[in-house]
Amino acid sequence: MHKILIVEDDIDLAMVLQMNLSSKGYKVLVAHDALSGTSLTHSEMPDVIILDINMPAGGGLAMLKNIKLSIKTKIIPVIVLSGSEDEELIHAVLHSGVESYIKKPYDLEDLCRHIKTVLHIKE
Amino acid sequence: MFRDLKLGPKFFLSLVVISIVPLLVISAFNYFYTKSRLKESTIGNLRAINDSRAAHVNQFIRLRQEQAKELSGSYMIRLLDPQGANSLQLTDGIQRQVDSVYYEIKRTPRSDYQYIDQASGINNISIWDIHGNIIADTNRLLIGKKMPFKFLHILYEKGAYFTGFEEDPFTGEKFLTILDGVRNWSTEEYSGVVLLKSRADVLNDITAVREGLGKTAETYIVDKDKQMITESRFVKDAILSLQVNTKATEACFRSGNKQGPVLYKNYQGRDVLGVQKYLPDQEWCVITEIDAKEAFTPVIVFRNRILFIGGFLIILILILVHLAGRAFIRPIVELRDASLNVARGKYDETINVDSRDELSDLARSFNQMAKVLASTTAQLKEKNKILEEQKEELKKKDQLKSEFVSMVSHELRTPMSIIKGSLSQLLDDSAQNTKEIKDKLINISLGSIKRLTDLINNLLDLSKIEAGKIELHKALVDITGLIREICHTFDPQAKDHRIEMRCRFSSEPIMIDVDKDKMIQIFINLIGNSLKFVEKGFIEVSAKDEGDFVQCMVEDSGPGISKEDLAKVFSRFQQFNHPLARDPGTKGTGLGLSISKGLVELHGGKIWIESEVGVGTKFIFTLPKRIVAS
Repeated sequence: MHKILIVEDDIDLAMVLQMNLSSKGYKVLVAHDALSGTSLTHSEMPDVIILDINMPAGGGLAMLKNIKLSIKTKIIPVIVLSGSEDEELIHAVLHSGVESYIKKPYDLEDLCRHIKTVLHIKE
Repeated sequence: MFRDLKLGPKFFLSLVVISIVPLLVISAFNYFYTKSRLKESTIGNLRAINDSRAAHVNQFIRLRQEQAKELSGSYMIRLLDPQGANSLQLTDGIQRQVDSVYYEIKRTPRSDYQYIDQASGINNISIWDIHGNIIADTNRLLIGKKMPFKFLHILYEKGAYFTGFEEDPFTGEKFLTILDGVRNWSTEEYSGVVLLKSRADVLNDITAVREGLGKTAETYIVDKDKQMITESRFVKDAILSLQVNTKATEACFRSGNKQGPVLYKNYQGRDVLGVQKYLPDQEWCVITEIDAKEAFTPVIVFRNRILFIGGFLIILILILVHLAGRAFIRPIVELRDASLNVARGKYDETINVDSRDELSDLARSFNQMAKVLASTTAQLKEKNKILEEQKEELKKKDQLKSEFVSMVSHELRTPMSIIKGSLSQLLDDSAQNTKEIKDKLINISLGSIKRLTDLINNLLDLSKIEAGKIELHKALVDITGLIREICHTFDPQAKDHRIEMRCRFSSEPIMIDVDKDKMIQIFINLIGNSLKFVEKGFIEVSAKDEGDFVQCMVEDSGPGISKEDLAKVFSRFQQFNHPLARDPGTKGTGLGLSISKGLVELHGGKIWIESEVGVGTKFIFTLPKRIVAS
């Protein structure tokens, strides 16, 4: 069973996402901020990370960089979930080694396809 | 060449040419005219002197001839025998007569020619018989001597005649000799000769008169052999020893009294002005000359005067032209410099105007033009600056707007994601959704829809406030009563979270002129905000009458806000997920505080925040009372 880490500051959305992916047969972990997200990544080593990039104080991008710079965690594929229109931020995200990028509101089928693709690439 | 010159030299050259050329022409004309007139008058003068001297010489010779004729015609002398057989008695008588005549001539000179006779007189009278024997002579030693008789031939041909200069064979002295033949009383045959002898330099007494001849002028006589027979003014003992071969003598002997050369070189090789007179009887030439230098001295003086005055005038003209040129050119140069300055953008340098001519009009209008240009440019710059500022402002606003739009879209996307995700989950048949899960998903979706609605309402409020389109329905309100009501509405919520809700104000009502609904909105926003963060403790709402204004405060015992975040509290979409926040899941729109701030300011008040981490937060705002209740 693949392990997916969801990092999303909106508690409701995080819950809905958890339900969505659990019913698709994934083991789902949830973090509500970048700090706990990073620590969960290191302790649990999930197979995929779904990361909300728009967290307070630029937490999303900071965590993404942290993961992609660490030798241990950089192989973990990251799917960025973004509601932002900020072109600078989008540019920074796309150039930080992210594996996939999905715009909110996400389509569940689409999200699952992305997850399968990155898992397939990883293996 | 002239075209390439600057205005100054051009002007200078033109004026100099215009003024100096006529001056030079007039001066030159005057000089040459005067010179020619002077030459004419000098020649005239010389000619008069020359004529007079020649006349004197003629008269002198004629007088001698008359004297000779008088003697030869006297009775006793005509008694001389044509064959030369003269008695001693006769020759004695003749001797006595000669003595008496000689004495007479010496004693009583002709008054007309006084100076001639007195000065020169006759040195010797001699009577010869037909054979040339001297029968009577004022020099008695010569009586009885026989003379070589060459005179007779001339005598026969011409009658009484002067002989020219003869050397006395006995004394060796040279004499100017005049002779006349003697004819016998009865036979009328030549029977002897009368000779009157004068000193050789006798003519000199005539020519040496130098009245009106100046320093270098002289009159002299030349015989047909071109020998000088009077003294020269410059050469000693010139008589019969100085040959005069000049153009003047040549012309004189060749063509007689026709006008000879006027300007030539004399016997000394000097340039002279001269005139000549030919005496045909004597075959002499009387010449009067003057050194050209002296003759033209007045011309030279005149020339020097012209040069001096002309030079002075030219210097004066140059100075005046220079000054005039400067007076004309200076304003032009100033205009040029000023226009260059204007071209370089220096508008403040004006031209000094100190006259009333056209150039100063030009300068004045130029100054005015520069002034207008300066003010126009300044205005343009000012306007440009304003435009630039406006442009910057617009840019900023534009950026803010796009940021705002981006934020709004983000705020919309999250609740939409929740709704979409929930609906997908509910629709998924494969998922084993329990009733509990379904209810939760539906409630979450409804919450998200409320969030969206709130967001839209808040956005509209905010945009109305910012555009100034919101209308305040002001009325006198007792703020204490209002606060009490609001506190009551929050009481149940506060009780749920075990938070103490406190109101604090004086018992007297505080009347204030405000829009009641907007006041309620402000308090709900502020109290709601506190409720989100306060975990335990209290929320206190208070109002204080400060005279002109009322100060309201919402204080809580929440976690507080850090100093960096304080500045951002009133910004739009600023939300703080404090780790100590009581209920992180209660999402606001991030616009509440912005709206509160806008509403307070709309009422003419101020809002600020005081906070300390770990102690609590105070939102304080003031409202002017406007109408105070009595």
